[in-house]
Amino acid sequence: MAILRMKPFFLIDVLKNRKKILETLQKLECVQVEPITNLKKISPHQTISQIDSMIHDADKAVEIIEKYSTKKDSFLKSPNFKSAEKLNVDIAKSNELHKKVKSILSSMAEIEKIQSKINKLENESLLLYYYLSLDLPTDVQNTKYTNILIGNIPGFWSDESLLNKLGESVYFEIIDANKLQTSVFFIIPKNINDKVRKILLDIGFSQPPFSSTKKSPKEKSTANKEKIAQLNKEILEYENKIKSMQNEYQNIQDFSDCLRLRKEKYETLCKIGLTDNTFVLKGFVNPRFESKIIEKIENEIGAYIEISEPDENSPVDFSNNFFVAPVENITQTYSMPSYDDIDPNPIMSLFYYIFFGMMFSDAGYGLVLSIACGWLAFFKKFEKRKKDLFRMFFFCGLSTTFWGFMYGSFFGNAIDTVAKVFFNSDFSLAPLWINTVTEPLTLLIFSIVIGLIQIIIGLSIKFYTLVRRKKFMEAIATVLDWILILLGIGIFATGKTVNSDIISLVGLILSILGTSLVVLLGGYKNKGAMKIFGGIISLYDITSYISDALSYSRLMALGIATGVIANVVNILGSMAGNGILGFIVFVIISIVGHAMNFGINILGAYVHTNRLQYVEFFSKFYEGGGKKFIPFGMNTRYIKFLNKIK
Amino acid sequence: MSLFFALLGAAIAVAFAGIGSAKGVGVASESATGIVVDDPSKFGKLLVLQLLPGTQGLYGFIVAVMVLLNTGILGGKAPTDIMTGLLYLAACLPIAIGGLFSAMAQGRVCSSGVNIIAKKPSESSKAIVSASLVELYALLAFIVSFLMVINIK
Repeated sequence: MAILRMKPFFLIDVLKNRKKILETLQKLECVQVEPITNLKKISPHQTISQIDSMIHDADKAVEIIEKYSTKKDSFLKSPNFKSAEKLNVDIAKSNELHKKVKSILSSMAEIEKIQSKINKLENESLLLYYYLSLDLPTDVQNTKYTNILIGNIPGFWSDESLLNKLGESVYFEIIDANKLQTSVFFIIPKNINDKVRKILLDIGFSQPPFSSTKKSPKEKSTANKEKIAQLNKEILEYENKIKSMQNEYQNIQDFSDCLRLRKEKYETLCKIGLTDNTFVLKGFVNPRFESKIIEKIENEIGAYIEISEPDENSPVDFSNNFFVAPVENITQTYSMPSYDDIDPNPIMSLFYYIFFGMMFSDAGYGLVLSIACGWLAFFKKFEKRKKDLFRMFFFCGLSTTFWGFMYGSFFGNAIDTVAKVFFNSDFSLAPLWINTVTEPLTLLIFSIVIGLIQIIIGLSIKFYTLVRRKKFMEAIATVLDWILILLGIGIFATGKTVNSDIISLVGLILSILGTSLVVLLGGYKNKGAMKIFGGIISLYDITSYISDALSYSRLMALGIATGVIANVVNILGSMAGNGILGFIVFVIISIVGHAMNFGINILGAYVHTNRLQYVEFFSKFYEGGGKKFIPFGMNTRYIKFLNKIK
Repeated sequence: MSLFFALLGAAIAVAFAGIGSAKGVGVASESATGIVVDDPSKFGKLLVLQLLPGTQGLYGFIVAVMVLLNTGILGGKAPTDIMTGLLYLAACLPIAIGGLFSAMAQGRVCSSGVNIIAKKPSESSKAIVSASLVELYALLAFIVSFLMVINIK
């Protein structure tokens, strides 16, 4: 069985050993600790939230250093690998690092403060722009007989139009006028002040949007510029301060991860139960590590440990070989298996790679994919999850290459096109099996047949599980009959295509047998006359099987699409003829076009492969709903541990 | 006249699918911009969602190019009888109509998927998966149009 069912255990020891035991368990990463409810517990929640905020600070500091220096880890870069023992930041060093983190954060806060000052000044300069030609200080005072007013009026105003509006007795100077607003300087005699104010209010006059000072707008603007330059220098200083910390980049990452480990330990500590002199820890242990844990905990430390057989509440995990393991993540996204599910991964992986290949279906793309992912998966170090992803796409790529040659597609018809346009030969890469464009019907039938096979396999697994649970009636009435029908239809169709009456007859008999079983037994749960009626009604299930089977036509659709789009890219590329220029155009259009096609179709192939597994395959037999085994261990963000590499 | 109908087909294939894509990409991009304002680092993830409704336009374009290649504009022979022209027109309809509506629907899915990326960036693949489910129907329309175009004698 490739599903690992974890064994419940509990452990008792004297109080003073608890730290040692927790540390050992954390390193082994093979137990999931459950909280104990009916005993006294430690509550170091304060410490946990403290550690949390320190982790948060450290992560932020890492981000800040990344922002101001060239250090940045990409998705494809191998993470840092260390042995577990090496990651140990002692307390003295940790205080020092915490101070450094704080100083980086405060530098950043300063930069942000200065930046907002700069923004304010820049805003002001922007507003001053429309008053630049005014050569008076903006807080110019009223005189004994006149009021002085500076401000703007919406819209464009010329000397004449303003004069008409205000009359002769007001002196004004237009400082700046544009379509949106006109800035004006007024000298208004005090005796008509109220009247003029009212007119100005009517045409929308408003005070200038900046505070008045003893400087003229121009002086003010220059002063602002100088201030901004000064502030920028300050920012630079702080930036340099941050940059000077970039040697600590690695250390801060270590620090952050060290804190993470400590946090996980404390969280587990909160789950153990205490008595006056002893402590109790319960949870689930990975059966693979059973002997190891007994050796380490019972023999070396001397705790009492009791391990029992897995039950329905046990968390589960998958365990498969290198070919199957990559698709575990796909299944996991759907659901973890329930206690008595059968591991779907081995069969699913085979169909997964086949379907992906049929949909991506281009030898060129497949080679690119499998070489890139193969290199990442086999020659670089990554943690398990990423490694599985690359490995999955490596196998998908291989399958894609295979189907590409079957369909005769290598970057579409690139080989034919190049031969024809640049070498004038009619060399052509013939498909090993079918030409998808001229024989789509064959491909459609093949897609549905392969779909039927998957559905029948799914139903057979369901049949097996039901029989194992001794639910014979249900197994025959809801599963076996449909297997017979689908198998019968398949055999019948095969018989028709190869013109063999005997094979068709076998198929026909099988489906009739299946159908009669459905009618007779379909209503087995009902009583009396409803039995037969229920049977007839359950015949309607055929519609869902038909739609399931037809759903596999996407294997054909996506399979044709890749090649067709690639062909058009090649046609477009070859339009510029066969000269040097033609060749350059061909290369450029090919690279751009094929990259785009690659992107669209790999996404489509991935999504629709998943969908076929989830909706058409898993729905037939897979119950799911299990809990995933999450061991108490060393979950870090930046550093990965050597012993975790696969 | 026959060529006219063929060209009309190519025109509506590229125009309608293009309108759909433009609308879809537009809606998705509008939502995405709102997120990028707050967090420019999410641009990469959002870009996929923004571009997904763009494929319909591409499909329409491909069908149009195939029509042009078969009708003497970019190669091949110009059709002579009016029936052939009408056949090309008919062949262009699936991707024109299917592309138009699926791109708009996909645009809406992408636009709401942007929320997933904004709130739970680690679940972003689920937004992309949802959007790709709509893609299938554009793809089916495209395949049918394509098979029709290349098989017109």
